Amino acid sequence: MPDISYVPARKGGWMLLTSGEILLAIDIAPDSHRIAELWTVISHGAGAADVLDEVIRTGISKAPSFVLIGGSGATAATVLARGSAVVRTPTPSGTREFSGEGVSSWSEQVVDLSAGFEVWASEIQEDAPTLPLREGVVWATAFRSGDRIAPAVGVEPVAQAAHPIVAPASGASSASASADLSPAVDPEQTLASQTLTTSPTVAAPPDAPVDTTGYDHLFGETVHRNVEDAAIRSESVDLPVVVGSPPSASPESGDHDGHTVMVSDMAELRAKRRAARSVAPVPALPTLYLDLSTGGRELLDQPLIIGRAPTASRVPGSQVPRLVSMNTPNQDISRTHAQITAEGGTVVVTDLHSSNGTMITLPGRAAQKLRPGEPATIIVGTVIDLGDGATLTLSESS
Amino acid sequence: MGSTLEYVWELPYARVTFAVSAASDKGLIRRVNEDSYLAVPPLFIVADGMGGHAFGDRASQETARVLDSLLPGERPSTACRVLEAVARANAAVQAISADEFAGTTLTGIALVQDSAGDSCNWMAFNVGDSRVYSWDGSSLHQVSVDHSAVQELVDEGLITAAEAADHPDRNVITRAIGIDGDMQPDVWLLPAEGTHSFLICSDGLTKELDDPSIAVVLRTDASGQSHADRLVAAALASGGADNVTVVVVESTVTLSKSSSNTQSGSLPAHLEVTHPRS
Repeated sequence: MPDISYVPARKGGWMLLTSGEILLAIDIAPDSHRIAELWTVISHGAGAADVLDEVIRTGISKAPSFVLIGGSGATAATVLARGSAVVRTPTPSGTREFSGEGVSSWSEQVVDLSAGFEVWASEIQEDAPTLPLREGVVWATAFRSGDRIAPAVGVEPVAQAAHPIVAPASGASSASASADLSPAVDPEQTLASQTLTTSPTVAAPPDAPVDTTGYDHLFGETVHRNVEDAAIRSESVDLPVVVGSPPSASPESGDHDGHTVMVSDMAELRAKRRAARSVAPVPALPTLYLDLSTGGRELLDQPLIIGRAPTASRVPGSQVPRLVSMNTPNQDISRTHAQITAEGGTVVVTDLHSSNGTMITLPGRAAQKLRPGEPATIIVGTVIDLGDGATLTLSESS
Repeated sequence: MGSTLEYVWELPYARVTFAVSAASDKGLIRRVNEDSYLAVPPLFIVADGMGGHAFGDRASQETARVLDSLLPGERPSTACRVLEAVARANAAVQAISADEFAGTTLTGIALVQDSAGDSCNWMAFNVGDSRVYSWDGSSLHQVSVDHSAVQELVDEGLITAAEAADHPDRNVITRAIGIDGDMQPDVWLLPAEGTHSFLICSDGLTKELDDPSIAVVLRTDASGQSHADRLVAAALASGGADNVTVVVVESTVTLSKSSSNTQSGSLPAHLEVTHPRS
């Protein structure tokens, strides 16, 4: 990233943060603790994807306007723009200009920045002073690298210039309709435990790694074993695995195993990891939220668990819910009463075995009582009644 | 050996106090302590490293280092931020294990607030077979669920919890930091209002002491010697076959009057029972 110059702003408005490798301009409140958090991420050398994750941490609909420039190779850099800030770059055929306006997430462009670039957060006077900046955090209304760039003439509509909207890998597309709230075992793990119980013999490693200088291997050192390794033993000539060894097993063939198994799996796991990083485009969705009878509005950007003092038990890290407490006159709704999740445009409500149950009223239909633990799909306009006057109404932004 | 440390936070919506003790010992058999821990609000973790040569302790130390550097002190974190820190720790340990197998368990609790920033929850998270317990002053309740081969057998109803303690596969874990890029911790959330006590420990404690024995130690007066020190000493006295690490946290969150929206009554809302409507 070349050195840049910027037009300072008074406190407030757009803040420019740059590490020399990543450049982030963001519309942020002056007292926001987010400034320090963003700077921590950027100054620790995080990549553009990590910075983006941090910027949209609160969900896409709540994310502030921003311009993020990073991933800059010799000739091309990725520029993300959300909101009204205008990005200009000179090209042989004239000035190229785009912004994130009219896009519900952000516009993403691969741009040659070698001839300079200019970003305008807001209009400024022609004679405003510019100051140099290599690295740091400043309030700015505009910034550029290289010479002034003339505004584009006859700019193509922003919506057409916009790159297909890209959601982060952990976005709504990966959320399940009903988060698993009960202790559960996935099919792979079930397979493993069956293998463990049905293999009465010791598959003694021919050349198990034995620590000749210590005794750790005798005393139950923790080992990690992948479930596949336990299942596919025939291929593991050089992969010693002990499965289902009886309690009388000698110390030498005891718990100490499995290390080499994991090493050999590294390549496969890494490939899987890379594949998981690719992101799929998803269509823009209306913003769904719930209006609470106790006042307030909850965005359905993550699973919500509603109740008097709700808790969440053993949920996967990818589906951590938000706990929403509702106080009613008689303290008559359950501590953990119901869960509401949105996947894509579909909203699902589940009664979490509450004491007094949950009623739903779809528009134009009679009220019905939910069966405990069974997810039910609801539509915009549906009223969810937890009893004791506590209701939630599903709405969407117009 | 340390004493119990006290912390007090004045948040815009609540006053939060912490009493924290932590201790770790390599035990009587092992040559190296592969456990690591962090015990500074808002984050309390235990990581039990595994791997050949010195890689186990590097894995747990790296995990503690990454989490420490990515979380703020002096105020609650967020669930998002904790999960991101865990993901980064996972990537950092994977980088170590490019040369030699290395992995670590990671379990802990963090005080987190939601995006509105007007209330806070305790978030427990777990990867592997270290554990988080809650302690109500009289009995111990296991919050986390192990990612272990024997836990799966228990879940299936094939063995009992007591049989799991002696099962030959008792040290085989099915999820760890540093093994798989898609690793997800399990997460628990509970409202932080009121007083909560937690015990976070590596399996070096729970394989030496059963729950009633741990409870006996937690009931003792901690003014002379901290609970964490006493528990580690008790584990060593019982054999000390493995590294043993213990973090004990007692925290009280008192909502400010202006932001408190609870009904009158002395019990925290989450301790009251729901009465069926007539």
